[in-house]
Order: sequence, then structure tokens, then C-alpha cells
Amino acid sequence: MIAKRNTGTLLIGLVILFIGLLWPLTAARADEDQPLLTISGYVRNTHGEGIADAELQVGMGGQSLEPRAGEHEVWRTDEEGAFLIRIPLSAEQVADLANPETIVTVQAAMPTYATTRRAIPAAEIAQRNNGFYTSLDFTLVHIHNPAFWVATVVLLATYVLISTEKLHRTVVALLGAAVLLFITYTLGTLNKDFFILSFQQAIHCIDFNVIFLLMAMMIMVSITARTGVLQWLAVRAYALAGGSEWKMAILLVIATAILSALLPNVTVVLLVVPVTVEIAFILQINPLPLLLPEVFAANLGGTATLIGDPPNLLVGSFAHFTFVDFLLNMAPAVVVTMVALIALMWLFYGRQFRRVPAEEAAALLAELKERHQIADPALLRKCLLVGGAVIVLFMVQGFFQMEVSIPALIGMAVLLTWTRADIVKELEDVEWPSLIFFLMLFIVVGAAEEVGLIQALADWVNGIAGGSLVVAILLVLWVSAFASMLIDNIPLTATMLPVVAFLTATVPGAQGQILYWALAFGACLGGNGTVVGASANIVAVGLAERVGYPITFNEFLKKGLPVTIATLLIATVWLLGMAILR
Amino acid sequence: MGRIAYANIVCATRGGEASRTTEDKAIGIARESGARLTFLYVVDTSFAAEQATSEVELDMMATDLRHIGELILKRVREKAAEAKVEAAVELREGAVSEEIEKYVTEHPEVDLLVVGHLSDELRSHLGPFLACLADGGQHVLEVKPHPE
Repeated sequence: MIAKRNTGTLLIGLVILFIGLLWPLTAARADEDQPLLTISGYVRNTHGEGIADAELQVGMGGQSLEPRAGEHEVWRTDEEGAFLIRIPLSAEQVADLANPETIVTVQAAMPTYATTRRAIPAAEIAQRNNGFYTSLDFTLVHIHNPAFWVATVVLLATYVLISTEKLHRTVVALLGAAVLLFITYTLGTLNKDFFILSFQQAIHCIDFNVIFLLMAMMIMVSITARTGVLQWLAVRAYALAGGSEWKMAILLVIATAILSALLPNVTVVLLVVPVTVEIAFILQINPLPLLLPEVFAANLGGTATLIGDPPNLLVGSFAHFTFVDFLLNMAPAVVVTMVALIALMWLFYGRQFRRVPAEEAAALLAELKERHQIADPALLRKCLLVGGAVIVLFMVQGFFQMEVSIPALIGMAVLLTWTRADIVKELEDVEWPSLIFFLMLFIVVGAAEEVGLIQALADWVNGIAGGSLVVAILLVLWVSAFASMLIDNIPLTATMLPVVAFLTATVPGAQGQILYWALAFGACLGGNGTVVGASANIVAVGLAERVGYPITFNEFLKKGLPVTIATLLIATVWLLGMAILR
Repeated sequence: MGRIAYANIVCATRGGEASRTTEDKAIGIARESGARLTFLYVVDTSFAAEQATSEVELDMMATDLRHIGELILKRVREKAAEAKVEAAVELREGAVSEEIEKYVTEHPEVDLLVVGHLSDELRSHLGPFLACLADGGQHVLEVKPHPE
């Protein structure tokens, strides 16, 4: 009895399921029988970039045509700016379309752009089988509405407040993003002229590749740093010098540059410079001839790789450059800049270097070796193995079409698991203010892009370049370098990237991505120019001041500016050579 | 007007060439007065707090700075000894201005505080306290470095 009842229930269920599955097909067939007007095309900005989420409206004979019931409320463009509109037509509408005099209008609208309407005479609409087909593209022009000015003021205020250090840079970026979203969702809801960017657009602006890579690197570096390996390497450099201060200076700058190519520059300066100061104090010499070149070397070393300096990370992620791309396009020139740095170091301080008496050198070495031993050799072995594996993954990242953050995330996960690290404690060591700064900065710059400010800037730069690749290279390299001397190179790079993308697309010969390399060189090398040009400089100057060797802005400039100009000249020759060879 | 005879002198030093004149001055006064001299060095890592990527880095740098501080204090004590002045040393950690203020407050017997040329930032923090000291009968000597 129970079995029969179950069989009955099962049959009823199957029938319901069958009807449920068949119903949409029947409905679709009914729709297929109905004549359709199909309109497809793209909505782009004046730079030819597709505009996502633009709203489209269609009208015929003064009447608005609506999307099919249950489909969606309005027609919108996809991520690429493409749209496909399919409108079922009544018999009356089919008759209208048969009249060549009938006009079909399509309107594309997007906040921050001028709404554009296009009229298509029915005569230009193709008819095939049971449908009508047409295609049209829109080029929307930005308007300087209140949204444009709000985003402009927010971006400028962000730059000013970060540069003047009136507020922490994370607070500044957070405030900027909050103001933009607040205005969008209050005034922007009431009046579209105040609509800057939606929450979805804001999220879309964030480059999570950068965020994940930074986070993973922070954790891996934090675990590795506590082994004491960086200080140990500095001591090895001293040991190799064999008592010659000049050799020691060269070895220290080379070691610093190599470490900075793989680790954050600030980390290297924080851990290596104190050892240098210690050596100088024991030898009773002025530490500045060792310390300043070390800081310059940290900034130069960071220029060589994708992970060496945040501007490179931004450039790499934006332009989809791999770790190997950086090694091929940046590292060789950086090696030459290091030679120039060593030559300048001799010019600045050569006479101050002397040979340490053998006994004194041996005693110092013994003292340094005792103080700077590897704190945890087992941990170091694990860190080196995982770090090596991550570098191998970076090398093959392009082959596997893997975003650069993925090897770092894998490395972080393996290292945390293998070392049984306390994840809560490790996460405390993540520099969250920096990550939040990046997140919010992407939104602030994204808003400037949404309202057309960056496009206006790109048009202006393009006008100055006048279609010349050489001028464009010089402009991007030198302007970004000099700007980096005074303002934070991270927002600068983030702002410049869409500008460089436009120049790359429009300047003849720039399609080899050379302008991105110019930006990376400019933003990184400019950091050596002034005390405020790079975080590593601020740390080193602070450290020097704490041990009784204060460095004024002008004193730093006297050494930093020649280094910057010399290295920029090398980068200029390198980039122009690349441009010619390509 | 005769010279003031001091009994307890504290000299805050940063250890570098810029502090040599300050140290020499403090040693000179201590020798003349027969005063007890203490050199104070403060390990201050606040300058790197914003830039450092982790607490681990700051801790490791603080360890190195502490060692550098010990080297500095060893050197100044030897320098004082060469001038026949026996000096005590004190190594502290924290913000420079706060630690100087704390030390002097904890040692009311100090009748002369010798400091080097104060930066604008340090002056803004330490200035009110130094004025207070002067009102309380303690003396402050700010030594300008010798022009190069």
C-alpha cells in the first residue's frame, strides 16, 4: 500500500517536473515566432574604451520600446561596452518598420557623459526572415558636470594632504573614497549630475592582484625577517671587504640593491642600515658615506623587479607584465645605474674611505658575527625554500597566464602551514593601513577616470607629445620622476597608468608598451631625489638623526639629485634604445 | 658674577658628530663643578612606525639601535674618563622628549640638563618642560654645534 502511494507521488512529481522543464521552451518558441527588432553595437568613450553599464533606450514613432517582460528593466552595456537589444514587435510595429519614413531612435546615457541619441531611418534597418536588424556604435563625450569637479577636487585634495602629511595617507584616501560614494548616493540619487561612481564601479576599480600580492609578501617578509638573515648578509658583506671601507661600501650597496629587488625597500633599510651604522660607530667613522648610498641602492634595486617597489607592482598588474618582463626590460638598466651610483659614491666620499687595520677589522668582524647570527636556521631554510619556489613560479607565471599575486599567495599559504605560524599573530604583522590605502586610492583614481578627468589629462599630455614617441617617453619618464620627488609615487603611478594606456594606444610606435617602462623608471628613480621621495629615505634620515647625524632636506638633495639625474639619463638612453630596436 | 656650581648634570646625547660639542661641554662643566655626570641616550623608533611593514621589523631595528646606544654611551663614558670625570650612563626607550622629561622628573636632584641644538619638532615637545625646569630653579643648557 505504502509502495503504491510512493509510486503515485513519484509519478505526479515527474509530471510536474516535465511540465516545468517544458514550459520555458514553449514560451521561448512562442517568442521565436514573434518578429524581433535586434540592435547591437558598442558604447565607447572618446579614447575608444568601452563604457560598461551605460543605459540604452529605444523609441519608434514617438513611443518608447520596452524590454521583454521579465528580462530586465533597462538595456545596459556589458563590461566591454557592448550591447544587444532584442525587442519583440507587434504587427502594428512591423508595419511601421516596413515604412521607410519611420525613424527608430536609440539613446545611450551614462552619468558623467553627455547623453547621446541616434536616429535610424527604417530604410537602413535590414529585414531578414522574420526579424529586423541594425547595428550602431556610440561615442560618448564626458561632460564637466558637478560630478567631474567633485572627483577632481577630491583627487587634488588627496594629493595635497598626502604630500603635506597633514593626515595619515590611509585616512586621506579613505576620506576621499567615502566623500565620493557619499555624494554619489545622496546628491547623485537626486540629481544625476552629481553621480560619480556606483559602489559596483568602485569595487571594479580595485586591483585585487596588487592587494593580494602586497598582503602575501608582507607575511612572507615578516616571517623571513625574524631569522636575522638580512643583518647576517650585511655582516657577510663586511667580512668579504677584508678591512677595506671602500670595498665594504660597494658590497653593502650591492647587497642592499639585490635584497631590495626582492623585498620591500623599507624593510631592507630598516634592517640593514642599523648594522651599517653599528659598523661605522665601532670603526669611529661617519656613517653617512655608507648610509646614503645604501638608501639610493635600495631604491634602485627596487626598480629592477615587479615586486621591488609598489609603482612597479601597479604598472605590472595594470599592463599585465610578468616578473620576467621586468627582468628583461628594467633590470639591465638598473645594473648600469648601480655602476653609476658606485662611481658617484666615489666622487662624493672616496677620500673619506680608508683601510681598517687588520687587528681592528678582525675584532670588529668577530663582534658583528657574534651579534648578528641567524636566529632560527630551521626557519630560514623553510623561508629560503618557499621563497625560491615563489621566485620560480614568478618566472613561469607568464607561461601559465597566472596573475603575479598567485605565486605569492601560494608561498604565503605554504609558509604559514609549514612553519605552523600563529595566523592571528602573523595577520597582526600585515601592514593593514597600507592595504587600505591602496584599496581606497584605487577608488579615488577610479572616480577620476569615471568622470573623465584622467582622459582630459591624457588628451593634454598627448597634445604635448604631438604624436612623437621620443617626446612621449621623455615626458612620461622625467615628469613622473620629478613629480615622485615631491609627491607619493603610488598615487602618482595609479593616476598616470590610464594616461599611459591612452598614449600607448595613440602614439605611433608606443604599442610595444615602452611608455609603461618609462613610467616605472620615472616613478621609482625619482624617489632618490629628495628626502620625501621614498619611504626608505624617510626611514634612513630618521635613523641617521637618531644616532646624531641629522641630514637636512638640502643635504639629501645635494647627493640625491645628482644620483637621480644620472640614473634618469641612463634610463633615457635605455628606453630610447628599446624604442629604436623595436 | 661667579660660576654656578652644579652637583648633578644630565647630558642627553644622540652620539653623532653633532653631539660631540654638547658632550664636551657637559664634561667640562662637570669637571669644573665636580658634579656627578650622567649621559642619557634614548632609543626612539617612532620615526619608522609609519613606514615599517611589520612590528617584527621595528622590534629588530630597536634591538640594533639599543646596541648602537650602548656603543655611544660606552664611548662618551671613555671620553669623560679621559677628562678625569666619572660618568654614569642611562639608556632608555621611547619618545626622546618624553624620556628626557621623565628622567629629569624622576631625578629631582638634577640641577643642570645639557642638550644639543633642539630641532623644531623636539623644541615644540620639550620647550614647555624646559621652561618649567627653569622656573623650578633647575638649569638647562642648549649647546649649539660649532660652525663647520
